[in-house]
Amino acid sequence: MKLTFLEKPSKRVITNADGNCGREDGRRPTTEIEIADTNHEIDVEEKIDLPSNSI
Amino acid sequence: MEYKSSHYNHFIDVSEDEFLLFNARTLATVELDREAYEAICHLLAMPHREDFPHLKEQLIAGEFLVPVTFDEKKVISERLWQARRNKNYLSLTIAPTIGCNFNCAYCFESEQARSNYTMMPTEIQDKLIAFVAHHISTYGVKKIEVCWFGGEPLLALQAIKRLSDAFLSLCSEQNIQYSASIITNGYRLDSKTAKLLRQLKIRSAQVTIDGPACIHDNRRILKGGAGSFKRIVKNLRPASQEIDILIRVNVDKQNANYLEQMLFEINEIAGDQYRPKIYLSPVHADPNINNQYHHGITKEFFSEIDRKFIRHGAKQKLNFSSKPTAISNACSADHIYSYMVGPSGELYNCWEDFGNAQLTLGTIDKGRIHNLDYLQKYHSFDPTAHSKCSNCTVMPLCMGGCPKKRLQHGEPQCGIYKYDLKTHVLSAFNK
Repeated sequence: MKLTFLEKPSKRVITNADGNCGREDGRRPTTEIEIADTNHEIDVEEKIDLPSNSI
Repeated sequence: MEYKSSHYNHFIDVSEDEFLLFNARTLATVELDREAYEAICHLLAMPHREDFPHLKEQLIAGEFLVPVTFDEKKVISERLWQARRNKNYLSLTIAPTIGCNFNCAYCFESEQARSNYTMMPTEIQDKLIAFVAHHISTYGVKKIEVCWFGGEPLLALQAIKRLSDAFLSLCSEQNIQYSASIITNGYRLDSKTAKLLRQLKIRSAQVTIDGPACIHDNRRILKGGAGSFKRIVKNLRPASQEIDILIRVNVDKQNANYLEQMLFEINEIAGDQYRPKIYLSPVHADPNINNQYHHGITKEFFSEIDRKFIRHGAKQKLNFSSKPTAISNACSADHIYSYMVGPSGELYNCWEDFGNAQLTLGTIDKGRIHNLDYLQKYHSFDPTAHSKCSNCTVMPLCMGGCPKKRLQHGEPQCGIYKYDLKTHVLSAFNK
């Protein structure tokens, strides 16, 4: 039994997919990035370092 | 190796004997007849079975079956945090003016703010250019994306041109990708303006039309009270020969039953050869957020309207559906290196905060210096760890939804795929 793939699995995701708030779906594709499924431990509680914007 | 069924598998029936198997994490999709459907149902329920080895192999290749040790949520969480901290990508939403030539009843920006037609001064423009140059040199930016917003940004076309020229020059010097888009009411989007936008690498424009003329002209009115439907629609076809035009329709109780008539009237003015790209956006019934507006609709009602409109479009060979897409993070408000810049150089985190002095985060020359607790609320949420989202089978398609709404409601707000995944998957594959 051979399956027909209409779409193969992808590691690509859309990042910052806004373009109009309230759209609530796939929205306007902006930047597509590929992120490897490394499946390793990450610390989601890690404190975020905000960038310094002083110029 | 032992396998388990992916948490994000969805069977979607096309007909009595035809099915799709869709995965919301990888977007992998296979077409199945009844025999294959039944065999796969068994295999996904009991992955240790060995009676269909070839089929099992294909399900593993398609990631519908994943190793028992594979933590799908962790993968989703990881890509969220990578994207949220991505320094290589700088996103700017710039309002070169907060002034607007329209006076729409539902606008979230205050009438007082919209009556201020001041264009971003050249001094602020220069600071913004320096801000971008600083980011490029400090963070190794590889791509810049600008969205022109307002107010009505085409009222400040000079500022758009001056800033675009500077950004393009910076990007060209340092081999950085650049693209831009604009959110405009479309009233001033004639062919000449669209051509200029294309030259400035503004590849797409979003224009709002809120129903047929009789409804649109009562809602999207000029400051003087006149309607805008005919002029906007007349602009669509010539402008679409220069840049992509995406029409947004804000749907509520007033116009929900007039969308087919709207399409008919657009075709009458723009001509049959014009193939509009349209998406619907719900105006929700939400007394906690906008108690002045009484025409909002529920998510369930919106889903039904959306489904009917997509089907109506399909009859005319127009695809109004949005193909489900896996997203890493909700939007630019959920990306640390994204900035919303107002005409005085003030910074915000979300588009809907524009013009609200209490929600500014700082200024273009000093950076984000206050309201950091507010910012942290955007940048610390992870749907894989939230009770409402973590077991949701469409979570990779929405990632907890609009962060602003989450903060307003105190919990994530589900998007359209939660209510109607089937219509969008079928439409994506012309089923």
